[in-house]
Amino acid sequence: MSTENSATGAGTGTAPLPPMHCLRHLEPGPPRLAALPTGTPVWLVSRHADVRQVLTDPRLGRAPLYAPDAPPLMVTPNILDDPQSMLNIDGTEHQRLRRTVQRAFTPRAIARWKPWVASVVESLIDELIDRGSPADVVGAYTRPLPVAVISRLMGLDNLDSKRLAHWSDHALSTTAYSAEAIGTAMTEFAAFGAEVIADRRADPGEDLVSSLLAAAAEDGSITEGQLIALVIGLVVAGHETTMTSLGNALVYLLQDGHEAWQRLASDETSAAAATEQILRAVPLGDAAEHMPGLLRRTVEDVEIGGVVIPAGSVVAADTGSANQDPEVFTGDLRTELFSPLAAPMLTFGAGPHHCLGAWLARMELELALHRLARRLPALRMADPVEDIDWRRGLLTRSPNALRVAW
Amino acid sequence: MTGPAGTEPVVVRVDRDRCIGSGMCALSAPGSLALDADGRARPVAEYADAGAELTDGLAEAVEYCPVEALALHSARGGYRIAPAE
Ligand code: HEM
Ligand code: SF4
Repeated sequence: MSTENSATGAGTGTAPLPPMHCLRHLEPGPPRLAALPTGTPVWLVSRHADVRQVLTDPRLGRAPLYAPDAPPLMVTPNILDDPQSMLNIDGTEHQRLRRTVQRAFTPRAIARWKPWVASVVESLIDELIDRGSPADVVGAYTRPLPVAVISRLMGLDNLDSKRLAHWSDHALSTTAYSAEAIGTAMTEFAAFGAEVIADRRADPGEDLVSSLLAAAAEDGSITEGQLIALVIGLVVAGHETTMTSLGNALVYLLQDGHEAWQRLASDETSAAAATEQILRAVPLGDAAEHMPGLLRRTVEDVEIGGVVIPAGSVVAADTGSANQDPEVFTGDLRTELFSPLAAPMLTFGAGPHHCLGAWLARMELELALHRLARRLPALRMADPVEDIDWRRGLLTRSPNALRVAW
Repeated sequence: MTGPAGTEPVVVRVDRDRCIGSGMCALSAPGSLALDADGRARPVAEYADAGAELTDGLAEAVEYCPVEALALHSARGGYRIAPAE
């Protein structure tokens, strides 16, 4: 596996990558055996009902993926492989940790932020328009929006966006960086997390970090390592995925899906429906290349979709193909963009680890698409899709920059 | 038990289209809610029809459901107790 790829730069001599809405999916079918890039055997699960089972059935977990007898999952482990991370803790221990932050992320709690998020969206659009056409919509909009939102929630006023981008790229690297570079970046990032925690203990405020520390102190069972992993995990998860989704949504909407742009501008309800469909149909990363799905490991024999998967097996829940399963979803983005989902999409996962930030991400995407379409009805991509400079070698793939004109 | 709410029997309803099967409610209130084989929560029998005591665990389960799929109703009056409308 190449370690020369860089998270920035398209590389030379390679064929242009297809945009994310054009990726091909595994045809949904019964669980089948394949291998991870490490050579570890993995059961690929692809049908909608089976993926949901893998993610909700207590006989499969995240913690067993990091047990002493577990096989190697990643050639170069990243932040998602930290056993102290909330994602890698199961059962009541996971519940206690998640409860320190859950109340801030319920649909009602998130809805209270809407007017403020809308004001950030509007001021970023003002700045974009001031810069003049053409402009880079990633640098001016899709990246700063989620960074501003998570910084405000967590009270990180002085977060340096360059350092943040450096940490995030390393945190979600698959092939872009060496193990050593990732290790160094994660040590620095953890030191930053520890500093934020020390500050808020000394001087608590109204922010998410202060409230999660208060909840953890009341609980008493949560370790310092878990708290640090939670704080830095929130910083990365809170912006990276939303930025990726928004960037890839614009690649679709400003090109192949352009006839929908006007309707997106018309009302928030249409924008909300389109957001759900885009989240369903446009994956965040290249499944085949980096990670075939959300990983779990069986703690006992489990029958999934008619196949008995033995205890101790690694299972990958391919949410991308489940989201296209013809048994539950009909039609494609072009015909269904504004239709309600026929079944719940699995982009945010399911079960105990269902994305904490799902409602926040939805709100940001909805507002970002609706307001941009309203303010810039003639927005279009300035360069052909083939010329897009993609961020590579990471778990997610999105444009590094995207020139747009109006 | 806290206040008058505890004296009144309650039923709990699960919006099964919304439930993402986190299993959190079954951990907080195993006497009131269980996770089905299809990965969705279901009230145990007495909390589904006749109503039973509102425990701290059940109140917590309703408050912490990540997708707000749980609602508490008065077993006698039928009106919703939580979350507030
Ligand atoms: C479009 C945007 C997003 C997508 C597609 C997404 C997707 C996901 C998925 C699939 C999982 C589950 C992983 C698994 O089960 O293996 C997850 C977990 C998580 N997400 Fe997100 N996410 C997004 C935005 C956010 C935001 C904005 C935040 C934070 C504010 C966030 C915080 C988290 C956390 C903390 C977890 C771990 C939950 C746990 O283990 O209990 N995510 N996300
Ligand atoms: S807590 Fe909510 S989402 Fe989780 S299983 Fe119970 S009802 Fe479903």
